[in-house]
Amino acid sequence: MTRLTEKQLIAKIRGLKQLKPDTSWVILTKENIIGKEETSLSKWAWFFTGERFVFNHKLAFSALTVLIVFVGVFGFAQNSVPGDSLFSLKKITEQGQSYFVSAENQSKHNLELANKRLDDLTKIATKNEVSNLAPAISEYEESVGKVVQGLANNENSYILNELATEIQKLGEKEEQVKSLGIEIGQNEELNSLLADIVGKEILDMESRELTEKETEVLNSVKFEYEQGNYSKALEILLLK
Amino acid sequence: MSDQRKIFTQIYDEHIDKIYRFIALKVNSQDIAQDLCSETFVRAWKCFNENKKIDNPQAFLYQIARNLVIDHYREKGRTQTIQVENIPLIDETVDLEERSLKNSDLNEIKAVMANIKPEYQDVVTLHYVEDYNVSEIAEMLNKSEGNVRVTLHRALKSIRSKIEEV
Repeated sequence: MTRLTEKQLIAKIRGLKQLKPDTSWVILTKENIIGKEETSLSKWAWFFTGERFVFNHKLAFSALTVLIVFVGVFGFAQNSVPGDSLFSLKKITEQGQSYFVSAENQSKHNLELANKRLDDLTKIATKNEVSNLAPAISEYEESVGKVVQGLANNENSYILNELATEIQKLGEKEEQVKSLGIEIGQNEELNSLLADIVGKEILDMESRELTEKETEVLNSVKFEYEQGNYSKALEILLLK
Repeated sequence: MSDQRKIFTQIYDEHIDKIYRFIALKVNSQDIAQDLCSETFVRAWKCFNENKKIDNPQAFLYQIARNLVIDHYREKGRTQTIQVENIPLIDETVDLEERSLKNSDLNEIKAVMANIKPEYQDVVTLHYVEDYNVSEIAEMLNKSEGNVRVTLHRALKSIRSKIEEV
């Protein structure tokens, strides 16, 4: 055999570089030893779901879960309408809020609630949820009852001014609901109360000396009053 | 990924091929080479994870690998006669004829490498296959540079004579 030069011998030895481990074995071994590479997301996922975290903070974890469920249910309840199982929860929230409303603003708050009930009614009519109609109408009537009660106890003209916008909205929404084919009945109590308030205001104006503009307003109010449009008459009176 | 894990991943990626080759040239089966190689990294990771001071990771890995090979032969009660022909060479890209020529060449050198002294295997592999210089090898093997040079010279002489015997 011919004698190899040192260069040839070294080249032969260097050929051993081709000896390589199987790539899949290399990856698998790395995973087994060091563990899979974690993304920032999976790292956080471990933090929240890892056994150690749960067991170390068992009490806090259960309290947090209850709180999340509670907030979730309350949040979901705010979209409910009369007739839904979660509506009672929504009502409790609203009642809770009314405790924090001052006596002076109670009438305005009641009117806002009546407006909300009309919104619910519109929603129900739009979605054609027939089974929810009766409870929604009854809820609306109940809220209007509260409005009447509040207004009867309130003779403050400053507050009445504040209520004008809400009463106007209420009237517009009532018309909208009626246009959807829903009969919500006449609110006799509210009408007679409004008639009473407007009547008193007319007498008051007639007993005073009026400017030309005030006389014009009085005439318009009297016209609407005679037509039986008491809410419209009140609007003109309060927005003068 | 923690810093510790990141650093060790880098060490693993840089050294896995070298450590595998180092072991494969000393044992007679791919399975054993893989087992000893993974055990090398398991032990290194354990030390690394326990924050043990490791000044030279590559020297540390080679030291573990060498000890594992020694333990392996001690356990099996085997002699130094090693057959490495059955370790496949991973290069599927070259055509069959070329591959067969290359394989015969490589199998020849593998067989020769397997039959020289372990200390010759170490220096030849580290210097000619893994391209470490003499001072690096001296540090890794805890020998003087002069000793490494002499061992290298003797190793080449031994390989040449084995090849010429064939």
